Amino acid sequence: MTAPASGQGPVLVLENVAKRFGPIEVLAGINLQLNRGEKRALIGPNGAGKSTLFNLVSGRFAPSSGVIRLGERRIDGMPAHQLNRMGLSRSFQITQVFGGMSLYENIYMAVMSRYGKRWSFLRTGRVWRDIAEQTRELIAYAQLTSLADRQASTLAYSEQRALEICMTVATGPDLILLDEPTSGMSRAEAANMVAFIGRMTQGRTLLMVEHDMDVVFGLADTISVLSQGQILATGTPAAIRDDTRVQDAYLGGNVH
Amino acid sequence: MDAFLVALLNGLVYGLLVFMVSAGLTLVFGMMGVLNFAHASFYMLGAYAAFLSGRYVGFWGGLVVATLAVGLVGLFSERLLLRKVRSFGHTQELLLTYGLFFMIEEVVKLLFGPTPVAYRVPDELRFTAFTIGNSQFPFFRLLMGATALVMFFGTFAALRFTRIGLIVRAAVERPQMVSALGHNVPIVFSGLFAVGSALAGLAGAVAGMYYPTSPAMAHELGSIVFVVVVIGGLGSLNGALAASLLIGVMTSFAVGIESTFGDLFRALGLSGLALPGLEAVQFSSIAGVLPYALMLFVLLWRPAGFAGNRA
Repeated sequence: MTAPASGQGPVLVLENVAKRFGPIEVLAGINLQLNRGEKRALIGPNGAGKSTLFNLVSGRFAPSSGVIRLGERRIDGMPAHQLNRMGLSRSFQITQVFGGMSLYENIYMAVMSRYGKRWSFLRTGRVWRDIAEQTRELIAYAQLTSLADRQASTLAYSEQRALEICMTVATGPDLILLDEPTSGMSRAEAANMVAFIGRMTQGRTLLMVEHDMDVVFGLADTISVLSQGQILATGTPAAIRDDTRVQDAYLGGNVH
Repeated sequence: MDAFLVALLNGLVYGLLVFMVSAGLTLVFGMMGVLNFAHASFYMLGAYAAFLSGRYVGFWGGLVVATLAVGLVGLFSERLLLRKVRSFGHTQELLLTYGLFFMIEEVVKLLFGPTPVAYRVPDELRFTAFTIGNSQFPFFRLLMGATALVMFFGTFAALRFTRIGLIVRAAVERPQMVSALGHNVPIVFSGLFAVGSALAGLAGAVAGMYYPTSPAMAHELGSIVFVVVVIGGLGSLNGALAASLLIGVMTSFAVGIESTFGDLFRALGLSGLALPGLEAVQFSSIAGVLPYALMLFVLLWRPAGFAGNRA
């Protein structure tokens, strides 16, 4: 696996980002900054605007006002495929693996896109050997080699989610966005997944939306709390747990 | 026995012709889900394009020009028209391509007249490939069949073994994820549509020489290709090939039967029960209905088609 490109300055910056849907202001003046290697979780009660914020960063919506930067470059309003080419990779809340293909082919597709080889027709030349080799290395690192030839739709749910994390990492991103990576999993599966994500995203910058507090405390080194379209607090997991404003936002300390 | 062989061969060749046109529709409708009613119009345009350009670039050059030209027409139709209505759903697509179907027909009538143009098999290809009994099998029919088979194996291999094929299959399944992996899905879809149209163009260029090249070409195959894609199973090339051959052979044999319904009723001892008008009807005259009857049965018995994996 290649290490993320080194560089100075924050990986992701949001300046005064607001989003309105008609008369409803979902996000108001969000300022947020992610440093290289940071693992940030975005939490908050239902309706706080987490998904909207996620959709703005991942390119699904353009913000109504404000600026989003990935590294040096402005990315607000850019389509998803260009964002990926600039170094942002995301997972989905609902599994998005290609069921008709093998696990190997799924990851191969993702590695391929890192090399900008989208239109070449033939599978010859050095670069293709590199892509095939990196695909195998990544699968080995993820300890999925025994499943490499299985058709993705025949994999167990948690295996499919693991595959998806692999694909998200395989494009070689500077920033990884995870949308509820353990949704629909049992306690034990979620714990395994946290360990797996930790291993796969080592040294990379991570922004995730997650409901499950065990997952948040297991993966994140900083937490931002979103409430009523604004960032209420940002800090280490311990500081957030003790923050009375956060406890109020979750209705009397009911941090589920 | 000879008659049987001839009917079988003719049926297979007709089936392969139907497959040539359905192959493109399998990509466009079966895989991308675009209800392109004008697909057979592209087939007709292919014949005219080859007819026009063949005078300058020769027969083989005409095939190439027709393929590329119709591919371009498809590309523009997708990018300038279909893309705009895609988000409104299938009804709008159907209405738009229905309009396109008639527009293309009228424009062609305006330019070339409603009657067939003189697009003919070149003399050097007019020879008999082999003889069965008293009937001669022209080489050109073989060439049509061969084109269809090349189309089948070419498209199949491109989808299965190339990198673009991998992206196309993935984009058809999960466009959102493919886009998140950095592939430009709208361009992939435009390209796929263009290739589907180009295949129809090539089919027209080859078939227009043997069958009359007229504006009615689009009508003759317009609905049957949808039948093939539905019977074969959406998005399945193998299914489309099987369905085309079945329809071709079935139609060819039905046309060859000389009995009437009256003969059938008499054989069953039911002559008194049948309507007098029906007794005189020949079996061969229902040949045209058979594909549609087959589609009804397939839809009732196996809604996903022969090889389809989604309904």
